[in-house]
Amino acid sequence: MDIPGISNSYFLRAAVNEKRLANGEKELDAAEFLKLAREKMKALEMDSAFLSRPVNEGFSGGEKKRNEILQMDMLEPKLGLLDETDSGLDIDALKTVSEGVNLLRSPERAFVLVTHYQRLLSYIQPDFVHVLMDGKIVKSGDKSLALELESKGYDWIREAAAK
Amino acid sequence: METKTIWNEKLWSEVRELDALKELRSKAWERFEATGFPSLKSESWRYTPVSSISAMTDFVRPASPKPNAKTISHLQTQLQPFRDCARLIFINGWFMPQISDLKPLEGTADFSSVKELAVHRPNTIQIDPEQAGGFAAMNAALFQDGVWLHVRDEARASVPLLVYFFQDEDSSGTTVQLRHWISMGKNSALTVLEWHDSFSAKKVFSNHEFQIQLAQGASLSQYRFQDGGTGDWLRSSSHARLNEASRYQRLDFECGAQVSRNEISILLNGADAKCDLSGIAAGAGEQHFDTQVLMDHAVPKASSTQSYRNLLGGSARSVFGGCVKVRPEAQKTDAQQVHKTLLVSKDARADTKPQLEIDADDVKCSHGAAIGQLSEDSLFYLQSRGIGRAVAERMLASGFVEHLLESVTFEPWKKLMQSRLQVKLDGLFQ
Repeated sequence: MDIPGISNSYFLRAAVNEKRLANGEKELDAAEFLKLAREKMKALEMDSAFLSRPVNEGFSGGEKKRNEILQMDMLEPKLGLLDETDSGLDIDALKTVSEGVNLLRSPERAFVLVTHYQRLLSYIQPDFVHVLMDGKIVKSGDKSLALELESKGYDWIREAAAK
Repeated sequence: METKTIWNEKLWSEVRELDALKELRSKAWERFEATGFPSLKSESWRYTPVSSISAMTDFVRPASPKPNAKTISHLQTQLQPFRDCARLIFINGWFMPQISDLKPLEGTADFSSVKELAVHRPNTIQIDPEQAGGFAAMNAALFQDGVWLHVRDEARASVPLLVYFFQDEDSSGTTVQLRHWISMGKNSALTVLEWHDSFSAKKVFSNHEFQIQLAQGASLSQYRFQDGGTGDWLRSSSHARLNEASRYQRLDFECGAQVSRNEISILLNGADAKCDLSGIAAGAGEQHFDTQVLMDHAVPKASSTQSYRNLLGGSARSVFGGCVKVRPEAQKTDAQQVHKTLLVSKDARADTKPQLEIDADDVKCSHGAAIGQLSEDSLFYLQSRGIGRAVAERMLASGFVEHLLESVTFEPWKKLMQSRLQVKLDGLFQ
C-alpha cells in the first residue's frame, strides 16, 4: 500500500500523536518527533532520508518491511503480530528486519511471529514455538521444536494430532 | 441583422475620454458590443455561466481608495513576510505608489503604472481588440490601470516581485479592470508573486489581462494566489509568448472567490523553450473554479508540462479545459498534461476535458485526467496504524495537493500557501 503525497514523517507523527492522545499524553511537536524518530532510525540503521519520502512510494520489498519495523518501533505496541514478515525478503533484508525485532524485544512487549520457515528463527530466537493446525494449537515447545520441524516436516505432528 | 450587447453604458461613458487611448478604447468597446458575453454554447464556457455578470449592469468604477486603520493594519500583517521583496500594491484596482517599493529591482527592471502610460506615452500601449473575446474586449475598453514591467537584458532579479491586489470594504459593487504587461529581456530572470486578497464579502467583478513576453534565454516564475472575497467574480487571462530557450513556470493556487476563471494561453515560439504550469484549486461551499489552458507548440523542440490538482468539498465545482496543440512543424515536441480531482463530498462536481491536437508525427505527448474520491484502501492503511478516520481523510486530502507546493523555492511564499491550504482543509473537514 503506497500513499503518495504523504511523507513518512507526517504519517508517523500523526500516528504517534493519535496514540499519545488516546493515552492521555502530550502530543509531540515536529522537533520532538524528529529527534525521537532519528534516534530510533539510527538504532535500526535506517537512512533518515526515509522520513521525507512518501509512505511506501517506490519502496522496495525490503524497504517496506523496514518501514513497518520503524512504525512498530515508533508506536511501541504491547503486542506485535508479525504475519509472514519473512516472505519476499532476501537474506540481507531478513537480517535487518530480524535485528529490528530483536531491538524491540522487552519484558513489556510480546511478539507473535507467524512463519512457514525456520530460517527467520535463526535470527529471532523464539521463547515458545506453537504449531497451529486447523485453527488450533496442536503442539507447543521451545525453539528446539522449530528445528525438529525443519528436519522432520509436519507429518508426524499431523499423525499425532489425529490420534 | 447584427445584435448589439448593451451592458453598462454608464461605465463606458466614464472611461471613454479617460486618457489618450480614446480610439483604442472605442474600437474595443465596439468589439465587445458585437461579441457580447460568452454563452454556455461556446465550448470553453460550457460549465461556467456568466449571467451573474452580464445581468448586473450597474457595476461602477472603484473610487480612489481611502485605506482605513483596519486595511492598513491588515496590509502590514500580510506583507510583513515579504518586506525584502519588491512590491507593487493595488487597492481596489488603484496603484498605490506610496506603499509600493521597487528599489530592490533598481537597475534590473523598469516599471510604469499602465495608467501613467495611457496618459503620457499612449503609443507604448498596443492592443489589437479585433480578435478578442468578449471579456478581453471589455477589458481593452475599460482597463483603468495595471503593471507595465520590463526586465532588462541579462538582468537577474535577486528578490521576487510581489504584486498584491487588495479589495477593501468599499469595493462592493465595483468592477476592477486591469491590464498588465511583463516583458523579460534576453537571459533575464524574475520571480513574480501575485496575490489577490480581499475584505469584501459583496460582489466585485475583477477582470485581469496579462501579456507576457520572454526573450531568448529568459526565465520567469509566476506564483499566483487567488484568495478573493466570498462575493468575488474574478476572471484572469494570461497570454505568454516564449522565445528560444526561455522558461516560464507558474503555480496557481485557487482558494478564494465565488467564481474564478483562469485562462492561460502559452505560445511556445522558440526551440528549447520550456513551460511548466501547475495549479491547485481548493473549493468549499459553492465556489466555482474554471481553469482553461492552451499550450500551443508552434516550433520544434520545445517542451511543456501541466500538472493540476483540484480538491473539492461542499457543493464546489471545478472545470478544467486543457488543450495541447502541436503544429505540423513542431517536431520533437515534448508535452505532458496531468489533471486530477479529488472530491471529498457528495455534492462536489468536476468537469475535466483534456484535449490534444497533434499535427506532427515525431512527438512525445501524454495526458491523463482522473476524478476520484478518497481511497478506502489508503484510509484503511492509515487507520490500521491508529490514525482516526477524520484525521486520515484530511491527511489524504492534504497529501493529494500539497506536494505541488514543493516547486515554490521562495520560503515565505511556500509557508503562506501551506498555511492557507491547512485553513482551507479545516473548513472542508470540520
